[in-house]
Amino acid sequence: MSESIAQQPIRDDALSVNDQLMQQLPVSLAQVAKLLAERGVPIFVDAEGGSVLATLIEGEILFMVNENMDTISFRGLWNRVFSSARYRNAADTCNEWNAYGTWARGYASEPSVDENRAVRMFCSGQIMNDDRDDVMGMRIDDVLNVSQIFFSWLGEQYPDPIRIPDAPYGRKA
Amino acid sequence: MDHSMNESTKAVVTNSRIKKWLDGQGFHVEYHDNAWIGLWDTTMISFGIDGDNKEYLVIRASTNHSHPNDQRDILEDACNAWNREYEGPTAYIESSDDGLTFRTIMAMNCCGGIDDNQFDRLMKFGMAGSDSFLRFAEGQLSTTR
Repeated sequence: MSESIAQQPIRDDALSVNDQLMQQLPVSLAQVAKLLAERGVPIFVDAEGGSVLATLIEGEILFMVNENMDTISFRGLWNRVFSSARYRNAADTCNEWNAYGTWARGYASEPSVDENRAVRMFCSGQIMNDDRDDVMGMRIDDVLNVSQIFFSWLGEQYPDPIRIPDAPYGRKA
Repeated sequence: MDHSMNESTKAVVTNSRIKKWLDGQGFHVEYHDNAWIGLWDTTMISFGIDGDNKEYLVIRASTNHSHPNDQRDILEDACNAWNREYEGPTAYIESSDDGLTFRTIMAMNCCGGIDDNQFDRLMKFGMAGSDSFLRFAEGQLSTTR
């Protein structure tokens, strides 16, 4: 009878799944993952090594390597949506955000009223790679900060009806 | 003795560093409102530093061509399409008495300094990206007219 998995000796030098995933990442992206983890941000690593996903309360941020420009690209996704019929509100809001001059851009996904596709709201940008952890940490902090400001600002512009007691979706007393 | 930085040295971005790069490219610019400003054809581009700790290199561009206010939705859609599909400067429209104008902004956090190679690519990327967007926007408008 073959030895069960539970009975197999555990090698001290065996890598955890997380460590194996981290080894798949390009150096700069592994540095981002490490810095995010140090900040207590829950992350998910793409098994093919292409991206790191950071999860926040009001949205999530995908980090990817952009080799052409020696930068890390990021794309934040707000966790709420607009209906396609309200695409114009979404586009207006993004233009207002961008005109304010913040360093991360806001944009809305393509609408489709026919398919009743939801319009998603994104913020995106790039940070320059740097092998110094303290410097890269400051740039990562900036990404987390601007993304959370974007998400919060959207929430202020369009409050979630379910959080408003007297709104149609609020729970009756 | 040449005291210029070698390529691996990381230095903060300053107005004098920006000016030196622009001079090296042979561009004529003037200092106004805390930024170096130049005109390329009909596109005005400014280069400056911003942020509480002067950590952002900011490249802004605009055209002197304005559009009627009733084209707001089309212009806004062109900006949103660019921001969705392409990396580079952020596109937006600004409203004034003359109508609506396309504008771009690219800001990059350079805290801790960047080397000359990164700086060179960033400046070229900012300039080329602004130009690419304005061409893209004109293309978008021509297909809807």
